[in-house]
Formats: sequence, structure tokens, C-alpha cells
Amino acid sequence: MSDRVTFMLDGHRIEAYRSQTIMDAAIEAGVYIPRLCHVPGLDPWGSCRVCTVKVNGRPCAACIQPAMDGATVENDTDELNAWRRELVEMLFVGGNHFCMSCEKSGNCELQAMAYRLGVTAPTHPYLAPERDVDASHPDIMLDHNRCILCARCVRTSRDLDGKQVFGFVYRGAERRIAVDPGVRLKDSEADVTDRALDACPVGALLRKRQGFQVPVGGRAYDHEPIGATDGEAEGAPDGASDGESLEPAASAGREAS
Amino acid sequence: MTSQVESVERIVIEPVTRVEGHGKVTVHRDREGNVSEARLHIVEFRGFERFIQGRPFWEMPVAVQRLCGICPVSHHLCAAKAVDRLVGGEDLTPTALKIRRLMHYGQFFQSHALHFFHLASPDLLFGADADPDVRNVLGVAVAHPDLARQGILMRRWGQEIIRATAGKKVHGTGAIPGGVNKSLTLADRDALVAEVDTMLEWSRAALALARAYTMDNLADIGPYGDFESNYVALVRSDGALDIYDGELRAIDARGEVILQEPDNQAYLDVIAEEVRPWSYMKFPYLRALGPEKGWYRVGPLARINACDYIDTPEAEAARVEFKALADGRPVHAAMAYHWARMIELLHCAEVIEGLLGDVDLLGDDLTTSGTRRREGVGILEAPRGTLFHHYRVGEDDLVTLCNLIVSTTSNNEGMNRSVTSVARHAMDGQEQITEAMMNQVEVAIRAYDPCLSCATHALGNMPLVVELVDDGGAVIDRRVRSAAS
Amino acid sequence: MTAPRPVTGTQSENGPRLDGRVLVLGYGNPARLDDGLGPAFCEALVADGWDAPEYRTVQTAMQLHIEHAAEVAGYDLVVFVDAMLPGPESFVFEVVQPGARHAEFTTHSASPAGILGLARGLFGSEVRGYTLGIRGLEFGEFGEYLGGEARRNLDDALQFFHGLPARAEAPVRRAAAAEMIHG
Repeated sequence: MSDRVTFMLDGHRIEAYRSQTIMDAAIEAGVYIPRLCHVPGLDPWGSCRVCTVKVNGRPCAACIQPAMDGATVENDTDELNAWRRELVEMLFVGGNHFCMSCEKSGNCELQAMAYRLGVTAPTHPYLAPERDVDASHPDIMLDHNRCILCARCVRTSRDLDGKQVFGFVYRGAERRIAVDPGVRLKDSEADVTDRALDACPVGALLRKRQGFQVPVGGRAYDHEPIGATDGEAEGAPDGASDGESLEPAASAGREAS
Repeated sequence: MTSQVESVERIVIEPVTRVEGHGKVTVHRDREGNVSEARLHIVEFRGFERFIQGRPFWEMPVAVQRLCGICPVSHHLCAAKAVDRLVGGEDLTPTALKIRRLMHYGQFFQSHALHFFHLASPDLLFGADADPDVRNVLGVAVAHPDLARQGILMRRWGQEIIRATAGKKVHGTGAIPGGVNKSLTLADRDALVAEVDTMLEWSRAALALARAYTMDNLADIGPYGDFESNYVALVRSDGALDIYDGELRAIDARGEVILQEPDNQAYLDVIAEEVRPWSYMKFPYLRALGPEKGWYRVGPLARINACDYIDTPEAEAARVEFKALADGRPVHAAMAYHWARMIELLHCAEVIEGLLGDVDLLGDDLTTSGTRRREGVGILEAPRGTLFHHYRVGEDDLVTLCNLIVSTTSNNEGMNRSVTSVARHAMDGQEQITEAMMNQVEVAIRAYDPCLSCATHALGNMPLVVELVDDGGAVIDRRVRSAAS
Repeated sequence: MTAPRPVTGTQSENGPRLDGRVLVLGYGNPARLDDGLGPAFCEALVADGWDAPEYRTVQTAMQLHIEHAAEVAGYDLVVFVDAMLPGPESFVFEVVQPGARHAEFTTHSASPAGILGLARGLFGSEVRGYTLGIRGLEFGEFGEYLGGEARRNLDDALQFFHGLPARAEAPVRRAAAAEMIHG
């Protein structure tokens, strides 16, 4: 059996390796599937569900769904974007996200996703949970008000820093990031040079005293929406459902892995 | 003053319902029906000083701007000055200092340009039923068709300066602990320079108008609060006017210097705040004179009165002429605020002209730092008056204490006395509040241009409520001035 | 099923008319529920094509500020549209009195009367004004939608507005004030 599969993504034929997820294949083909907890380079986590696509009519998370030969996958549809909008809204009202004074503003993936999806005002009531700030470490701050439980810090600390500083505790609405060994950051192995500190998509895990050093106009999403460099602005397939074939490596000009 | 508790308490604030800004004035009468006192109640509780606790200090310059959408830059820069101390970065690099100064003088300029619109509307200054002769004296201005257009363009220019230095016209992020996050591009600089001559010309014209206006009306001030007071303002160590940085000077009604405190960090040795049960806004006073005698006014009148000179030539000439009104002593007439504002407007234009020629504005050495501290105070002159920001942080960099004294608070006593003065003239022995009285109350408050909130009102909301209260506390009459009327 | 709501008219003798070059200026915060009634009214007007003729303009704003005086001065008639606190009628349509007080007690705040006064006094405009206050109920929470009752009041206001007589005016050069500003 060939290790190559082919599936249709919004009417375009995508070629992938059998071992790839829909998300991996899309990224290589230069197609953007909205996502928050997923980032290339880390094992997929499948918790945020923003990358929900429909595979043969069934919704699933593109980041953990293997590419299936002959499947029809929907990504950029009104229905799916409406679901994504709901998810992003729920993330906002479930925490305490004060973009107005947050140093991540302009560089924040949650905020950028809200802009991209057209979230302007919440349609759900704010939960206003009581969350705390762990600023015990001299150089690192963990603001639970803004954490969206994406586990990027957990995975990065474990897989790239070799440390396992972060983990989850509790379940459901009580679920939160905790610091191993169960105390405050200052007693952990966390260090200001950890790559985990660069992994946080929002303003939850931050290096202290760095805020607002990048001026307005120089921030990641000041001029381009999130997902723009992923394929929409360049390399994205032109035209509608003409079944145009895309070889991932060739079209993106990248080496096939 | 807020509590001095060191430990950080988590403040949970329910989602804020719509802030309604309005002023309420109660006029209290004694048994004989004479006005004993009038009180201007500040009825909003913003709670900022409390819910900002527990946030990291580098958020302050950005967060604190949300107190106001009309004049946020003053808060931005004042908070930055305070947190500079927390990182040991109070000795800014030349570029940082000049960018901040440009930002401040730019926002000052556009804030004062707002008053252009009022120069030609004597009704705004004297009320709708003032003596027609008084209102007509500004026939020159009323017939001056360019005045309002200039006001708009001056505001735009000032807002461009803000955008170029702070990053955004409203709620920018340019000032950070120890410096700034950007300097000026050549394109921005040249675009601003292109209009500076026009701005100077228009500022001169406005000043001439304001001068003529004040001179012709000085005799007709009436009951609007021409009374003596102490004044507080920042001045440079040599006594020059300086709106960005300086020493805290207090002068008395005769112009004698009561004190001049060079160390901003020691402001609490100079100023105390009294709390009265009927208002959320506090009453600052000079400790040296006590609460009864130690109240003071701030703002354009205070600054022009308190300084020894202005270091730009045209504004200085204007100041000398202004002071000649009272033979070199402080000018007390509330209406003179408007002339004082236009002197400052011209001064800002002159300063900006000088700054724009300075190559440091384009530099790339933006921040500095030194020994960190746990406490910092910033003082600067906002358009409406002296502004104080005071923060204390824990070892973890989270704010444990925040104390703000905004300009309107410093003018609290002054406003109350103005309103009392008006009430005495109009209400003694009266049973009813008239439209004329409402006008006069508004005019009295308006001279201070208070910032009571950035509220937007639904029609039918109440910007001004005046109540007449007898000696037993019963409300005899109540009048509401709605935004729509 | 509630009874039809009474509709109030204007205080002018001949009844309101939308003559000449008309500006509809709706203001409020659409993210605060019924506070967005002003902008919502404007959106509905535009959707109905009311501003298709050259002599009709629809604008929205978060709040009134002093620069609106310059804008308003370039028209013959301005209708300020805003949410109004709850009351018996679904909306209130009134003349903004000329010669009314000009401004609030602080320069931070601007009212329709103040804006109109400045437009006339500073720019020498002869613009007349009405306010259309649409009753709203909920202003406290965050949300980008109108409540049911606010929605009904909005429909009443739209129906009334579309029924107002109007005389079209031939396009003329823009008023001096606007020319001054825009060059």
C-alpha cells in the first residue's frame, strides 16, 4: 500500500503522507486551518477544537485526524467559522481578558483569531472567574486570568526544554495549569531562558518587564491577520473546485519530509 | 488615601454597568433660608485605585489611560514617570525624554485647541442670559469664520503628534518604564514640521482674541468665582513653566511662594487629602496650611500665576502682559483661565517647533534602567492641572498600592466654592431653582473644565441635577438639566 | 399582544419635514445592547436605500464630539438619533431648540443642542435639528444585539421616519464651512 493519500480540502486535491494529520497536510499545502492549541513542532493536543473541520460530513479536530484517502474535508465554510467564533467567544468569556491593558495585545493569537473570525462583542455573559497571578519567580509571570488551557507550555517544557515545569490539575471548569512540584514558579525549575516562555499564544506565560517594548505598528498582527502567512496570502490554491492537484513539497517549494 | 496594606488582595469586580457621568449640586440652606453651603457631588465610583492592585507595574502606563478617552496621554506619561522609578530608569536617554516631551506638548496643544470653539461663543462662558453687551463684545470673533476650522485642524495636528510618538491617537503605548518604545521617523517628523508655522500663526491669533476678550470683560465677571486662592503648579528649579517635569510649587493669593518641593517623591509631605462623607472625590490641601486654609487651584491659571517666567519668547511676552492685569500678582478671575490657556497654547507651539528640529527625536537609544525600587511617584501638568501618580509594588512586581490625584480632584474645593458663591448670589431667600441659576452653576463649573467621566449619555440621562435642601435635609426643589434640552 | 404605542411628534406648527440636504447622525455603542439603537437605526436606513439621493447622508459615531459641529454645519437639517431611557412611548421626536444652551459643564461631553449651537454660532450655518430618541431598556451588559422591545421601538421609529414628508433639494455646492475644512 502506498504511503501517499489524497483527499479533497474545500474542493482542492491535497496529497499527503499516510502518517500526516489533516492539519500537517494542509500546512504543507499552504492552506490555513484556524488553530490555537496546535503549533507545528509540538505533538498535537486536540483540545481547543478551533481547527474543527468536517471529514465526510463529520466534525473532527484536524490537528489529530489522520489524512484519509479519498475523504472530502471542509474547512473554510460559514458553518465551521461560526462554530469557531463560538469557541473563541467562550474562551473570552471564560477568562478575564482585558485586551486594553494586556501587553500581548497585537501579538496575541486569541485576539488575532477573534479579529479574523469577526468577534466584536460577546453574545454570552462573562463568567468573571476568580483567577490569580503567580509572579513569584523573579523573571517569569503566569497570569491565569488569560490562560486558555492550550497546553503549549506543558508540551514545550516537556519536549523541548526537557523539564516538565507545567501540568494540568483538576477537571472541567476547575481545570488549570499548575507548576510542578505543585508550588509556585519560584520553587520550580523554570528559567527565563526556557523555550516554554515563547510558546504561550496569549498573555498568560510571560517574561517579566518586557511588556510594550514593541511599538504599535511593529506587532505580529498589526498589518496582517493571523493565518495570512500560512497560505492565504501566498501559495493558496486559486479558483474553485476544479480538482487541481497540489503536491505538497513542489507547490510550497519545500523539501518533502 | 488608600490603605497602606502590603499584602495583595484579589479584588473581584463584577462587570461594570454603564457609567453615567453627571454632576449633582445640592444647595443647603439654614433656617433663615440663606445659603449656607453648596456641594458638588461626584457620584461615580470608578474604583480604579483598588482594582489595579495585583497587576504588574509595566501595565500601568497603558491601563491607566482607560480612565479617560479625551485626555489619556497625561495619565500615560505620568504613570510612566512613576514606573521609571521602579526600574531605576528615571534619568531618561535624550531621545526618550524628547519623544515624551513632544508627546506631552502635542497632546496639550490639541487639548487647549478645543477651547477655540468656546472663544467665539460667549454664551458658553457667560451663560445664555448674561448681559447682551457682554456677549456682543466678541463680535470680532463671531464674525471670524476661520476660527473654528483652525480649531479642528489644530486638534488634528496635535493628534498626529500623539500618533507619531505614542503609536495610536488614543490609548497608545509609547512610554514604557525607563523610556519609550519608538522614536520618530523622518516622514513623521517632516509631516509635522510642514505645518508648524501655520500652527504658530493660528496660536498667535487665538491668543490675541482671548486677550481682547478678557480685557473687555474683566469688569463683568459677576458671581462666577472671582475669588482668591492658593495655586499649585510644577515649575523648573529656576522657576520656569514646565509642564512635563519640575518641582512642586505652591503660591498664595498674593503671589508669595508658600513652598517649593524639588523631590516629587515627597509629594505626601506637601499634599494631604481629606475625605468628606458626601462625595467620592477627595479634597486635597496643603499640609502646611491645614484643611481650612490649605485648599488650592490648579490648571492654566495656576501655572501662569505660579511660574516666574516662560522660556519661549512670544508666550513670555504674553505672560508679562497677563500678569500686568494684577500688577504682577496672581490673576484670580475664573474667566482669565481662557486667556491663560491660549498663552499655554502658543507656548506649546513654540516648544514643539524647537523640539522638531532636534535630531535626538530620530535616535535609537530608547530606554535606560538602574537599581530597582518598590515605590515611585510621577507628577506632571495635565491640561487641566497637576496630576499625581503613585505606585508601590511587592517583590513580585505586582502593584500593592495605587494613589492618583487627578487635576479635577485638586480643583474640587475651588469648584465647590465657586458654586457656593453662585448659589449665594442667586438663591438666598429663594424657594425655587430657576433656569438662570442653572446656567450660572454650569458656567461656574465650566471654568474649571472638570473631567468627571467619559460618559456617553442616552437621551433622557441627567448631566446636571441641582437640589435645594433645607436645614432639616429635606429637598425643597429639584431641577434637572438633561443632555437633550 | 400589547396595544399600539403612541407616537409623539414634533413641537413645530407645521409638523416635521425633512427638507433640503439632510444628515442623519446616529450615535451610541453597538457593543452595549440597546445603546446601539442610534447606529442600528442608521444601518436600517441605509439598508432601505434611504440615503441613495445625493442630498441625503447617514453617519454613525460612538459619541458626539465637538468636531461634529463642523460636519453638521454643511447641511440644512440634521437628525440626531440616539437611544433613550425607558418611557411610555416607543420613541420621541423633537426639535432641537435654536438658542438653547450650548454646552455641558465640561468640554468632554457634547449634546445635540450644543453641537447645533456651535454649528450655527461658529460656522454661520442655518442648519436646523431634530433629535430622535428611541427607547431602550438594557444598557448594562456587553453584547452586540438589541432587546426585543428595543427592536420594536426601532421599527416604530423607522416607520415614522419613512412617513415624514420631504422636499428634495437640487444639489448645491457644499456649505462654506465644509469647504473650508476640506479645501
